[in-house]
Amino acid sequence: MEEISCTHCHAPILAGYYNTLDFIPCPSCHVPVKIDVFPAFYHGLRPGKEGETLIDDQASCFYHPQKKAVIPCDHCGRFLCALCDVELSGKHLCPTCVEKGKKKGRIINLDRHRLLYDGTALRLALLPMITVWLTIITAPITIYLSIRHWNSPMSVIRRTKVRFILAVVISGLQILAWTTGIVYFVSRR
Amino acid sequence: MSLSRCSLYLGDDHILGVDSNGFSEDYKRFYFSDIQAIITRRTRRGATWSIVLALMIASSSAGALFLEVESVRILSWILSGTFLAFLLVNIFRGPTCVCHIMTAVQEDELPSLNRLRVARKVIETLRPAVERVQGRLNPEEVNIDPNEETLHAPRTTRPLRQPHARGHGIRHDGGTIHMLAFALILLDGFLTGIELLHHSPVIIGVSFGLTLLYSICIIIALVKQHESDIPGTVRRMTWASLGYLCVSYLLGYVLMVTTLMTSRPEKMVTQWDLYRVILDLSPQDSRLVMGVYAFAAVCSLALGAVGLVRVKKHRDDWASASRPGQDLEGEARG
Repeated sequence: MEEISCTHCHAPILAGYYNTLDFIPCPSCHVPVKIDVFPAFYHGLRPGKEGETLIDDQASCFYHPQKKAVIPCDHCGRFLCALCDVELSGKHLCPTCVEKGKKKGRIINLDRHRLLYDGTALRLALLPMITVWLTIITAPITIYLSIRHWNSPMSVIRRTKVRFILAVVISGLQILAWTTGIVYFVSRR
Repeated sequence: MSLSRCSLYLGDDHILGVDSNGFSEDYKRFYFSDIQAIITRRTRRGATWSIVLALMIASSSAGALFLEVESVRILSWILSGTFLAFLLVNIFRGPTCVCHIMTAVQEDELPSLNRLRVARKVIETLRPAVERVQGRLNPEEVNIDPNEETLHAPRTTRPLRQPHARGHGIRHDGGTIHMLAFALILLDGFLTGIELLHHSPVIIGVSFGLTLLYSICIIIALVKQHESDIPGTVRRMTWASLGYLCVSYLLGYVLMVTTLMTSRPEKMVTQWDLYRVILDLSPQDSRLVMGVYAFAAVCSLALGAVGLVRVKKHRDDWASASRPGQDLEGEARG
């Protein structure tokens, strides 16, 4: 019989140890564990949906003409059978729209990785200040990066554009300082 | 050790794990309908850190009290203060744990839930949200007697789950190497105690040899106790011995450097001269040496004695557990 395993010794833990009020020692390694089990554990994997076969003059699925349509795609409006209906965050989408949405980054719940251009720009503005002279190269790059990616998708967690603004302001000041320094040096000669 | 920061966010129908390194973020979503279990395991990481920080405070405070150079003393006080601040933060954050979330196809660690207080709070927040989607567990599924074999056999989902390649059990270890290590530490403690009262280069030489021997024994013991039935106390004592060993090596190094700096360089021509200076080092010479020796003697005696007692208890427990079976065999033969 398969059970949940101890995350320390990987020995199986019996169902009697689940949903206890406090920590109990693992029967094998005696490390205190607490296992909170939810109904999905007893129900196992949900069975996949199956499209119903089309009868007479019923509307058919766009992708499977022999299957009965049950819902239209919320994005493109194509009729979909139960097999093609992908439910994401309360929306019903067809596989093509899901694929397109994933490619263009429109479906936020499918994103697994994002580059943080705002954080990168701010670090690029701040870190080279340790060496001072590097800022002559990094300041214009920071401003370019900030403008170029101003509208690029940011973190999926709500973030403001304050990092971009700070990066632009700091880089602007660095460029101003360099310009003033160069002008002063040239005029003195 | 990664430099990324992990956080957990509660969504409408899922929890979002975010792993951020400042330049990019990786996301993992666990939908409420898929969450099967959350496994929380208590760890000793917080306590270990507290011990390490306390040792750091003790050694830097000892430096601040015994060293004679003013600037080094100030630096030692600053270090003590910093370590104390870290220790207080560690204590305030409470006991540590490791949390794993389990679905039908994966078992993932939630690195952001590394403190028990936070983990409890998150699970309490999560439970109603999951139950809203999955419904509540039947009363007979909750709190069954741990000694009872379960009647509620869940459907087998393990072959689909990812990170459990290692399915092997726990093997028995009698703790012979642990016993040897603790015995050597105890002996070293006695010798250091004698050295405190009566200085002899021979005792220091023997003590060096013993330190080398039990260093090897501790490393072997640490390897052997992995996935064995060695009790938690003995395991912790072995780790504590390793910690003590590192601290004593560090203190020995500091002692050696300060001694070499204060002794006359023209006296040291060969490597042997250098060893002789160290062997001639007597606890009566300075307060620093006396402090280091006293610390080493107390730690060695405590670790060795407690460790030996715990290993002996483990061996006795194992012997008494296996004896009834042997007796029955004997009776059957008779």
